[in-house]
Amino acid sequence: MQTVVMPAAMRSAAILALCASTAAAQSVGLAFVSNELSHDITVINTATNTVVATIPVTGRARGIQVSPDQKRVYVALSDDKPQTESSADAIAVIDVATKKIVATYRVGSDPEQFAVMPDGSRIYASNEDGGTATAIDARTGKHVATLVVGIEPEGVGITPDARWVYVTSETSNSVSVIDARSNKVVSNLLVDLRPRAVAFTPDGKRAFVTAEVGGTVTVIDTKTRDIITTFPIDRGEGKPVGVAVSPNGTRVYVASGRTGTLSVIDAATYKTLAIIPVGKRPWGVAVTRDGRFVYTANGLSNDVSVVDTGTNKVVATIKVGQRPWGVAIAR
Amino acid sequence: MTERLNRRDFLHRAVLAAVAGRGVTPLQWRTPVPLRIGVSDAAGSSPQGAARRAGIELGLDEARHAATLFGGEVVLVPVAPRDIRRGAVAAVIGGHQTDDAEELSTNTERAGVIFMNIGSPSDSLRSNGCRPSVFHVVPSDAMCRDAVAQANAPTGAWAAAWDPSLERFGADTLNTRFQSRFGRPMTSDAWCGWFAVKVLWEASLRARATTAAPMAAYLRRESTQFDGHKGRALSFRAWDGQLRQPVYVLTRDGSGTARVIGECPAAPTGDESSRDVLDRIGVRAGGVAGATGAACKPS
Repeated sequence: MQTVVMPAAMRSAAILALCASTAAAQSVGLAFVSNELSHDITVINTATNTVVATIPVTGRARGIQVSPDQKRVYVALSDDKPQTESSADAIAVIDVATKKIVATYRVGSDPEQFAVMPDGSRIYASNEDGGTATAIDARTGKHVATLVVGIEPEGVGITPDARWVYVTSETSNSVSVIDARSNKVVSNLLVDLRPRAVAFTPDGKRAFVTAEVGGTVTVIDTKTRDIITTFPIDRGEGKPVGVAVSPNGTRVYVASGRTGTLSVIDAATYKTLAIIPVGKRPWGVAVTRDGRFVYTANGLSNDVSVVDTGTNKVVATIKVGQRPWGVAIAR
Repeated sequence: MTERLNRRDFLHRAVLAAVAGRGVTPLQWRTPVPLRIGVSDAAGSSPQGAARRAGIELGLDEARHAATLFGGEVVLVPVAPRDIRRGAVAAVIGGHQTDDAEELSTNTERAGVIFMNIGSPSDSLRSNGCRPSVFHVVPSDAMCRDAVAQANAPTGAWAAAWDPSLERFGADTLNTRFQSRFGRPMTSDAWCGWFAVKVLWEASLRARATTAAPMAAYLRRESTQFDGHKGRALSFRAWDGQLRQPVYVLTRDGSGTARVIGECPAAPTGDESSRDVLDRIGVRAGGVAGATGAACKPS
């Protein structure tokens, strides 16, 4: 066997070829949109931006995520009566190929958002009315741990190295950091008002936490857990909720509910590069694998906006179910 | 606006706790002096007083939950408005009637203690000279009058700080939490009690203090704001200590049930500042410029 060392130019060409094939693969991607009021999931073909399926579920569909192997979509469901755990409080598992629900996991009372470990092993969910986060086995649904976090826990994110789980809590304005190895809360950070969601850069060095009432995003150094800065969205008048980082780590996309906009932020300088009007009350936001498009779930206009990241313009608006909440993209 | 417990502090505390033989429990960043909040005993047995007391209890529950994350301790102490002692408490929550509110306003100032008025809407209480440690959570009569007028509400309409039917901006979560804890709806009186504790706890946490002076300074700071589950950042007006907040305009329907028919002021649009918009109710023309005293402006 011979080791071949490619010249730099050839390496670049190879990377370009790889990108091209990724883009081609993305063309058969599917966006899954959770609809809180109509209790269903809208499936959109991201190549044609048309609805290809609607999957009924058994409760208010909110948080939605794709498994790392892209084979499953998880969606958090809850009943219309918080404070009491009922059979409607669950995470449903959807098979991407058949678009059928193949399992339902219990994750404690009133699950809202959750995150999947990068190796697909576990799911960490926030229990909004319980002041806790629940960890379950992502393959069996078996309970792993329940952790006390802040009041009204909401956003959940896991660092790409699978080491730390961040849970934002709306009423205590806090971020709890869970050690994913020991399943213990190791630190609590005080952030701006009503923290809703968290996203990490692909290298895992920075966390971005949106604060809906504060109108800001807080940047956290994940190594030292120092707060690097807090920057405003829409001059501080925004209502930032959903946040996503581009696959190349250069852009942060923030969905700002009441102002009906998507803010494009430079991930290194934290400067706002563009504020793009989308539908009404965008909350959920997701970026395609190739970074070319951003999808926002617009809760009050019952549609999804598709933004071309090259031109920062809306290129498609797709009608979905009632009160769309979140969006996740499977390649 | 942002603070944190860093790892070094945590380890330091952990070592201290281990040395003390008490194990590693709360993550604390400050000296273990409890935040002592006085609650006026002048509420009597009125339904409004009971609702305020329930709100205060919910606020205490939440502060204690947060204390398990950040350390610290919150203690409620019953106090008589005529007997407020320096250093005994950092703040007093009360103002069930206007005379009680006036007595507390004077006596807390003398004792160097914060007063959170949660019951008296009296305009004269707010214009009666500058008292930098007096804060009004309950909307003033002037705010409510302006809100009803600006909403073009029908005769007989009124305005309130809160309503149990509110849903947006996490109001449903708060209403449900109160209902399930006390078995009754969260009224405006209950909201004011809850918010007063929340504000005092957060001021203590963010100012890293359990004494009145640094907490009052934090509450009056221009950049300080709070979340009251109303979807907007709430803050205290520097010139009269009044909480800037949207209020809800209500009327009775055919069956006599109170219904929210509007929110005032309306949410900002375009280039408007949300803080300026909230000053559209309860501020007399020139009220900001003609504030009751320069001493009330943030230093």
